[in-house]
Amino acid sequence: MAGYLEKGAIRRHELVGPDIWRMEIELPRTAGEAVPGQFINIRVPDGLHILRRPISIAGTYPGRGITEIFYRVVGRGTEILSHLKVGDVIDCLGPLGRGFTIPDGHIVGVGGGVGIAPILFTARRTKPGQMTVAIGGRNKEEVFWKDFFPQTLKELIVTTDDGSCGIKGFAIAALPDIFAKGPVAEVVTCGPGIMMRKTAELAEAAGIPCEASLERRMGCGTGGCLACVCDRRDGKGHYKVCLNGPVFNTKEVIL
Amino acid sequence: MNLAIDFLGMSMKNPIIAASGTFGFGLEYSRYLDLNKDVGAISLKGLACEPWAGNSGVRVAETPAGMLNCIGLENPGAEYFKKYFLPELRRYDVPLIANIVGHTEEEYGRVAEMLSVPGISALEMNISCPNVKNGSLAFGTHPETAAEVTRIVKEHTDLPVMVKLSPNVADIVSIAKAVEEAGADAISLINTLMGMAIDLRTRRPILGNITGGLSGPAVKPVALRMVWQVAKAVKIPVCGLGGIMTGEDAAEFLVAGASAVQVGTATLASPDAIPRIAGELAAWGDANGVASAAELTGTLVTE
Repeated sequence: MAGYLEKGAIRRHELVGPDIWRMEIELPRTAGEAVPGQFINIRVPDGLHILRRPISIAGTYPGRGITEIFYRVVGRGTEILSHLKVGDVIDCLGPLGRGFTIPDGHIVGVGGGVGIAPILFTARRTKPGQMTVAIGGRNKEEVFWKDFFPQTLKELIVTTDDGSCGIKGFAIAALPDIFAKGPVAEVVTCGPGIMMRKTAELAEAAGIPCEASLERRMGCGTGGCLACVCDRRDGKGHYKVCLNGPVFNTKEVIL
Repeated sequence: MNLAIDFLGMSMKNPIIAASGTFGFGLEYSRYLDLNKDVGAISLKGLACEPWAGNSGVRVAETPAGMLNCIGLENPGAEYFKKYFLPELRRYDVPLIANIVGHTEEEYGRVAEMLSVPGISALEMNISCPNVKNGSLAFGTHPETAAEVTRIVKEHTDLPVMVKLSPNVADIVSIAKAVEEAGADAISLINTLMGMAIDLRTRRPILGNITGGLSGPAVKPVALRMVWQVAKAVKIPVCGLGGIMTGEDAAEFLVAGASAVQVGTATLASPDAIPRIAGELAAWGDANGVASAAELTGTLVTE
């Protein structure tokens, strides 16, 4: 899907977790059309960083024209973004890519790290009681996300590696119980590769469709450069993560 | 300023060609700009006679004022392109340049023949990609091999042939002269400069291929210098590229001796870069009393 080139003012910008920033940007066209799983490609406003930063959309407020993202500072580009102030205007391209399918029925979301952002967007778009979410982090600081999820979820399961918040262990450990309780229409996942692989294995073993949102180092974000490819599971070459994804049915790709 | 030029037998609405490998097969960009009027010509993603898978692992890394790539010329092959992309592309009023790649001289000849079809206006020979083993750059680093593969392509096509040169050589002028002598109709330069990037935390190369090709503003001074050297030394037209991000950058390449330019990395940064740069070039010309882009070529003052 093609995006819009939109320059918009930052309306909220705050540190919400370990190196994780929340930003609301005035991007009315993106806010009007974005679906969970899509991303925006943000230009680092210093003229020296050439490539845009692809960031998952975490929510939209079409009435106010606001698009919300959460991003992690991982290098110089995102560090420069983190220094921007409310009122600064940034150059964005979006919404890009293919989002989650989100059928009717019970949706189960599994997220880890900054990959929780598209799971949050999905949760915000599902009906009350439609979605169960399992999120995991190393410690209680990393699962700050729990406070952003809507109260209307069917269930929110929080896990930490050290047991400092929620259940001790990994988010995927919750899946067998969830699957045993009743039918699930789809599993959606985003986060570390091993988490998405395990989630897909468990979903596929239970006969449940599973979609994963992939992350790759990206060039253009518009399908022109072939930098962000992933391997097709049918062995017939590659998909472009920016254009054919970032969301794929897990049966289509090698995670 | 009148931007329209004639280059390599093509009537171009502006002197900016979308650089190969940064514009897909063009159709991806029809949502961001008007292919019928915004782009001088499109140099299509490099095509081989058979599909190529490209390199595995990380394919792109950002570096100061530039980027490295090691895509490895992934492409679906000339036949697939002709069947699934060319018919739709031909509906647009924009000249198409088929960029061709091969592992052997025989493959270059074969793909040149496969793509010498209605709808394609010219060929650009990529003998300068630093990311493919056995071929491409291997031909572009010696005058004799560059000339020989040029001769073979010319024997297999009636289309004008532009040869894209690598900056990763000791003497760019000798290679330019050799391909001119072998029948090249134009020269484009520069392809990317070979480079690398390291993740110090892991002490591993960032790129899956370890090395990659550097592009973007970081390479512009090198590109300008080579365009100037080559344009002085050959009689055939030169197409300049390397880090053009603004209209003034484009004007500098024309002044250095280029008859046309290509824009690549800027498109990756913003899909509407080409019409923006064309607009800036026209505005610069108007502000400086330049009537046409064509009259800028080779006007460098050195005395």
